[in-house]
Amino acid sequence: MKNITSKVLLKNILWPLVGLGIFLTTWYIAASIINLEMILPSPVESFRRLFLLFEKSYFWQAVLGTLTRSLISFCISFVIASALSIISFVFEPIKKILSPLVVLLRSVPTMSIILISLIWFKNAVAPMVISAIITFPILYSGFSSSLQEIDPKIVEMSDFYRVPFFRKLFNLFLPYVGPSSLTTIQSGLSFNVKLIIAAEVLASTTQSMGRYMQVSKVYLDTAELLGWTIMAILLSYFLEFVIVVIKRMIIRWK
Amino acid sequence: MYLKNINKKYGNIDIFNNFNLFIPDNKITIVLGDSGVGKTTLLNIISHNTEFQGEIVDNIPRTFSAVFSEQRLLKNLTVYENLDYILKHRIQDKIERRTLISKKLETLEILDKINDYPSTLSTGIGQRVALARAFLYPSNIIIMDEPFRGLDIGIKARLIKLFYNMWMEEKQTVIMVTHDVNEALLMADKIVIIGNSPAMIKYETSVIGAQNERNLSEDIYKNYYSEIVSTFLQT
Amino acid sequence: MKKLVFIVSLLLIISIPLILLEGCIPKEEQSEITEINISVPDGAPALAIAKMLKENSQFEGYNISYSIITGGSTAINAAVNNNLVDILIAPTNLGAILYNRLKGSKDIKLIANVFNSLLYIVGKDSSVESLEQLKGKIVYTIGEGATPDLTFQYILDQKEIMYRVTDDPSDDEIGIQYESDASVLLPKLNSGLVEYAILGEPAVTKTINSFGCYELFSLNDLWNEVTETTEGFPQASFFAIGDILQPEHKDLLNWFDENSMDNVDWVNNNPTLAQETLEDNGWATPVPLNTELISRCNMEYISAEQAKNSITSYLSVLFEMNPISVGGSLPSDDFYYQG
Repeated sequence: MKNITSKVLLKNILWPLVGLGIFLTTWYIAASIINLEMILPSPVESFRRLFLLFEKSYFWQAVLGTLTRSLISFCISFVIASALSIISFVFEPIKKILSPLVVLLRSVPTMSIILISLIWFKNAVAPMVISAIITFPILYSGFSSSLQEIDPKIVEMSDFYRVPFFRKLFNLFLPYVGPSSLTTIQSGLSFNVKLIIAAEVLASTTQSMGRYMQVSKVYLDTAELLGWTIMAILLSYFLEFVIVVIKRMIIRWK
Repeated sequence: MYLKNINKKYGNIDIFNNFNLFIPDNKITIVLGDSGVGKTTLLNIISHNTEFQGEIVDNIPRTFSAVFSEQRLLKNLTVYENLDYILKHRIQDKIERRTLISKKLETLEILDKINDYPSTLSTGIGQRVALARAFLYPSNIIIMDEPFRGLDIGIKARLIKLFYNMWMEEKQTVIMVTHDVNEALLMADKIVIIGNSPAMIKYETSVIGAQNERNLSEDIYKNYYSEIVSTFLQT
Repeated sequence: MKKLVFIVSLLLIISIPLILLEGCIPKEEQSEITEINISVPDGAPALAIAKMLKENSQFEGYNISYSIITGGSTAINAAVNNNLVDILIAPTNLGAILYNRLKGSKDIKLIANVFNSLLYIVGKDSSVESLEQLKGKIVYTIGEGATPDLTFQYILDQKEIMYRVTDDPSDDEIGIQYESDASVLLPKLNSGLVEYAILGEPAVTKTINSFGCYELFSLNDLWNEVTETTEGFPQASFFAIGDILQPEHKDLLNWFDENSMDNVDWVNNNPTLAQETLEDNGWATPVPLNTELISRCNMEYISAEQAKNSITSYLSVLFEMNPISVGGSLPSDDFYYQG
């Protein structure tokens, strides 16, 4: 038994690390060839900058700011998307009304939304608005298809036995849509972070990662820029990891 | 319960046209028929789950329980929780529920599975839980739609035996639909065969042996068996 | 063991194409360059080559192309990185940053200062007469870390006025906020969402004519006030990059020097013609040019030798505030082109 576990562990950690290693090695080689930090800093330098940033309080304030904005805008999107997807699932006419609107939101070019929002909203608010608008159709579609997957026979049985709505909601709907919804949430969340940072760059939002990325661009300080970028990647990984843990906790019956 | 002058259409097709049926209280009525003739629709009509023209005359207001051909258990809930799921809103007292559930599971000889998840249960055991569910729910008529479909003969026999053990306690009105002549002969107080389109009763009888012992003698069995089969052959 | 071999061979396979690539990166060109590009950013800087654009001024032995770059500092950096430009107008401090960053790879030298500050603070409240009155208010500027931001902060420091980057300043401080682009800032100025902003000409004139704003301060004047000089600060300069700095092109650079000085006079005397020319060449800031507007742009061609002092003190000021704003260290003397 112990043998099997350590082998599995090895497989799950070793190979991904190899992949990561190949990536870093390639980066290192490419940077040495180009040999101009302004164009491509070496990974060593970028990580060094990151560690220097760790000591600065403005770094953590910015990361917190970006994270907070991400979570707030995501929650807003999530609440609206789940409410609407449940309502459309139950009431067919609502589903038909919403359908063209969702398609519209999905097709509008991201840049248009960003540029218009920057004009309409304050710098602190614009990134959140942008992110909420763009993430919403993704979540809505994901939740809607999760709901479609509920076995109608079980719903029929519940109705037969006159199970009250809230019990159906908590014991039937939520657990059944849970796992696939979490997958939707997982991709929605990391996409959200990326979008927020992009918007922050343009809006120069105070206490945001995007703002400092923009400044390092102005000063042609590519190493600093990559340091922040690495942090953004770590942030994304962290959020995905949290969702995966939640997923594991919920799927105890499989 | 009397079904009087039932008319039911699906699009342009008449399923039932002036259909009449009497379902005696506290007896097991079994409806036999080929696929597609309207057996499930009949159950839906009885349980008010579909629209129809005509009348259902009844002497008491009905609450329904059902056993389906699939288990229809929530995979995220244990056996106990599944039963609780449909019971909670009818019986408020938790202790009372727990006692009732335990007793029923005991009658069905699956008390040891009380905390297991449906995915770990075999089909036979799962269907026992479905039976328990139907009997636990405080109802005065149980509707069964081919509940033993696809099961091995051994498992089926066991299930029918356990079904009786439970039914004997309160002798609810049961209306069941099936393909299987053997099931009908073993279980029914009354057998109805429907066929043709629109569906009509082609054969109707009370099964005497069943009423007394649920253990048909050879003769009666053979007697009814040949009658039923010939009815089918005439279709 | 098998796995180790596998990993090592995988790494080798990845590195081989990269090593081969190194051979493909172009080495310094030995051949004679006859293709030259002179580029300026969109906006007021385009005025500096208006005459040359009109006449498509050429010098013997060279094929000179002129371009107006739209797309802000990103586009400028891209042009520099891709070796697309030989002579360029850029913010003076950006030149210093490039000097530091390109060291060892490419040469860049300042050949002349061409613009003093053309930045002004505008707002709808014409009663504002001193910077102190802006306390508790928010001033917007374009681009954090760019020239307007840096010089404004310096001025406030010298005047000992407190400021903070915030959208909620207390009554003792001036709040600073950033926008990425004039296209975002101007509508907000118009609608009143933004009360005060630092803008450059010709956008300033546009807000005065169309949005009902007033010019409240000139950054040049403020700078002169706190530094006790009269010249203002050297905002933008001509830079020469790369091979064009080789001795064989000395004549071209001399020619350019003379031509540019003529250009200043010509633009001042022919504003309408200048505007036409620029618009034909993709100028994207349509405000009618007149002599007054041109004078507010503070265009003045001063070659590197003469401008050296004022530029050095300007860069020192920036360096003191934040060394990274000039690229980490003050450029040494070879930053200035010795004609």
